Amino acid sequence: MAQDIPNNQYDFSFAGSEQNLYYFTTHLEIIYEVKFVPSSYLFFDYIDDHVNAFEMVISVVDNPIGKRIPADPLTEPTIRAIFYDFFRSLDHVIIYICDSSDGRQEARFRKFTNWYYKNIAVDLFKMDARLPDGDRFTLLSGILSKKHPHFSQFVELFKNLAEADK
Amino acid sequence: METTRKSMTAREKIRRLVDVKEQAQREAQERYRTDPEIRAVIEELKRKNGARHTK
Repeated sequence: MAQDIPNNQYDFSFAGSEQNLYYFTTHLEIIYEVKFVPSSYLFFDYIDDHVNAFEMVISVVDNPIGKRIPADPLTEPTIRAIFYDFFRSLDHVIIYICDSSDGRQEARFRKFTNWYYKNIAVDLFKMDARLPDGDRFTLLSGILSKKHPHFSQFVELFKNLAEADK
Repeated sequence: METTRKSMTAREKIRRLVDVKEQAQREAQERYRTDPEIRAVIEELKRKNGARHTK
């Protein structure tokens, strides 16, 4: 479903109700896929109910310029728009892990955090965990509504994830 | 990628989150190469994008 999009972001399409797939392309024809992968297993140790948790995975599926992707002011608002298109505040929990494959996870984490604090919907809550992974860190964030029925289990989960190396 | 309920340590959960992300990124590139429906969606987005930026 292509949207009627304002000029400060790219058009995007929802392309798979079973796999929760979104796509957008930039003016340099860099193609992104954003996928929301069901991840209720995160809550198995905390609650018997099913929790609609999803891992948000952002992938560059084609980069025709063949080198590091230059900063693009429309990419961040497009990903934010996709997030809000998918997110159902009283139902969903979203987990995001910063890609560390090129060692730039700290920059991505700052961007993600900046986006969150700049344009937060009023009732959303974010927690972060930062874990040593060899000579790098794994950085992850979780977002949900403060009114989510499993808010307290989410806080407990993230406290435990943040202390996983201790 | 859901499974039956199984207790996991925090470290196992983080490992799985990372594995899922890496697998999803590999699958995304494969889908783009091999799935004609996805290619059609992307070509339409490119067309719209091109039209917006040449206005």
